[in-house]
Parts: sequence; structure tokens; C-alpha cells
Amino acid sequence: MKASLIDGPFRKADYRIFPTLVQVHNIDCDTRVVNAFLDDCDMETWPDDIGKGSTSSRQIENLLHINEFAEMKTAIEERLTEYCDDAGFEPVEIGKSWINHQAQEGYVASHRHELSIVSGAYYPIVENGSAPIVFESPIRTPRMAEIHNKATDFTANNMEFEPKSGMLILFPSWLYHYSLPNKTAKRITISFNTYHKTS
Amino acid sequence: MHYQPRHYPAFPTLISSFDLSGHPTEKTVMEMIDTWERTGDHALVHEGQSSYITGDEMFLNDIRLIDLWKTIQECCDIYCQECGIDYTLLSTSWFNTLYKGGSVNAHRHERSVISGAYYPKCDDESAPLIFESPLQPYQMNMNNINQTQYNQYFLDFNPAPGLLVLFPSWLRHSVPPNGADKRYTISFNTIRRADRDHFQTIRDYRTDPHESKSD
Repeated sequence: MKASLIDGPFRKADYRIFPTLVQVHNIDCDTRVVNAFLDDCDMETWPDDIGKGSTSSRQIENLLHINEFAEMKTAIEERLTEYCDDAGFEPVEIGKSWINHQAQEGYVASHRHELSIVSGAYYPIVENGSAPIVFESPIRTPRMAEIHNKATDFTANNMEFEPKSGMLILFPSWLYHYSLPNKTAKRITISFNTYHKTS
Repeated sequence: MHYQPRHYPAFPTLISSFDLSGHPTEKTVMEMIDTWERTGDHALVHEGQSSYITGDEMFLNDIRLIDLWKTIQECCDIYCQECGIDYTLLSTSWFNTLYKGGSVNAHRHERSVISGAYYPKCDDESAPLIFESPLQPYQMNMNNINQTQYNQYFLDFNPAPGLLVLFPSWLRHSVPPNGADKRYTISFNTIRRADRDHFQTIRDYRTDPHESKSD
């Protein structure tokens, strides 16, 4: 790919190269199915090295493949198609998916989603002021010679997104992320991984 | 609450280019490169010559190029301001001449903050400067079907006479085989400006007198 240089005299041109695509969508889904699942599911507590909260991932690896979640799955996959199109990736479909509950002081330690292509977090039910999801800069490591003195897109070590009910956030699975200790009673996340469509 | 889909091109790397064509030192630069005697082979440079021989070259510090030094320094200041990093100061500088078919291996500029390339002589056949994506090692799982700014591994910058390109020194880059008869580049490194005093006060007491005895 070639940078588009200005044709003719110019003073200065900036290029913001090699960015990472994080995409935010809104999906309105019936939250009753989520509440019903939470009432029925015996969620397990995370080990300390993963964070503080509970998850369905030990009982159900493919939450979004359950019939009751079909509408949500379809809506998410439509957005995944858009993400892949924008990023230049072959289309993907949802593989593993699970639900997490972070109550007061709940958090998730830094991690990435190995073996997946695009990952996402859908927030069907979050109370206002819930902890953000924080992405870590993939280019922090090589920036050892610079002293940052101003927060810009180029010096950012982290990027935070405060969740709202109905928010879907999509990102490349290799991007490290975590969530800060939650200050609300309820922060429900449906997380998922993807793989390329086989047919 | 409804959101419009939003794209966040997160964690970009800043490249700034400046048009210095018509700079008052243009002719002098060319004459100096054409008549420079202390050039040699460089391990990274093929089918070309480099004035980078000992690693502490100060080509831009020549009194004949002081106006160019000042202009490039101002551009570095603008880059730092834009980027949000401490100001830098030009340190080492050298020139490379690539002949037809000449190339430069992929490299980065260790021990520098931002680096740059200024092109006093090139034409449409000159080879581009190619930057490598620092994200490439992460992108192991996906099949790419279209090239976009999010999955490209390389980005080419075609040189133009008088073009100055600034980039973070850690960003790997290379030059593929050159199509022009001659392609001149002045390259340079920088240090953090506030560290300048540290360099001046660092002493080697095996050879330098102690400050208390300097009088």
C-alpha cells in the first residue's frame, strides 16, 4: 500500500499509520433472555489470576448458540461482518461465547484471546458508571526512547471504553485488554471469539 | 441509548512529511554530496555509498548546511509537539547514495528518539521508503482478503525532491531496489533535548580530570 502524497507544494502532511481497529456498535436485544439465563445458571467464580467475578464459561462454552440467544447472535454476526469488511479480513463466525458478571469491585486481569480472530464484548445489562474495558497499546514496547509529556493518540498507552447497556465492542483478538475494578452492582458482559467461516 | 457505529483507529504511529523543496541550501547539499570524499560501503546499503562510517557522523553540522539543520530541527520540534513527546535535538546525520538497483536492508535506528530522511535528489524512478507495521507479529490468525490500513504490513512513501519524512526511530524501514540512476538521502537521528546536558557532563575519569581539579 502506498501513502498518498500531496501533489504539488505543501508545508506538512501527517500520516497516522498502522492503527488497530476497535469498533463500537449498539444492539438492542431483549434482556429478559439474559436475566433468565443468569437466574438459572450456576456461575463459577474466576480464579484470582483471571480476576474477580463469575462466569458461565465453565458450564457453557457456546452461549450464543443456545436458541434463546439466536437473535442476539445474528445481530452480533452482522456487526462482525462489517468489522471484517472494514479491516480487510475474510468473514468470521462466532465460536466460543460466554457470559461474565462483575459485581462491586469485580475486575478482569489483562488478557488476550488466543486462537481467535476478532473478539468482542456485548454489554446487555450494565449499570451506569460501570468499569470501563481498557485496551493496551500494542506499540508500547518499542517506545522506550520517548518521554511522553502530553496525552495524544500517539502516546496513549491505554484506551478506555465505558460500557453502556446495548453496547457492542469489537477488536482484534490479539489486543490485550482488561477491566478496572467495578463500582456498580451489575456489569454483565457476553464475550465471544471467532474463527473464519468454513463454507 | 443508541450508538452510531464508530470506528476507533487506535494506537496509530505518526509519520510527518514536510516539503522543503526550494530550500536555500539545496544546491550546496548536492555539491557537498557529489564531492564528499569520506564515503564507504555500509552493511545495510547495497549498490550505493554511505557517509555513515564510524557511527558518529555530523553531516548536517557542517557550517554550509546550518540553515538546513535549523529547518529540520524546527520540523522535529513540530513532530514532537504533535506527537506529545519531549523535544529532541539533532544528533548524528549522514547521507546515502543509491545507484540503479541499490537498496537498503530493513533496519531501525537504535539509541535515537525520532529519525528522518531528507531527499535532495530523486526522481519518479527512485525507490520508496518502506515502513513495516509493528503489528505484523500479532496478525497470525486472520486471512486477509483486502488490504486496509488495519491489516497492511508495509506502507510505501515515494520520495520527492525536497521531501523530509520524520518517523519514530523504533519503526523498521527499508528501501527496495532503486530504479533511478542516483537517489540521495540525508538521514539523521535525534536525542531527547533535555538529555543534552547529561551527555556533556558524563565523564570518563580514567582519561578526564575530575571537575574539582579542572581549574
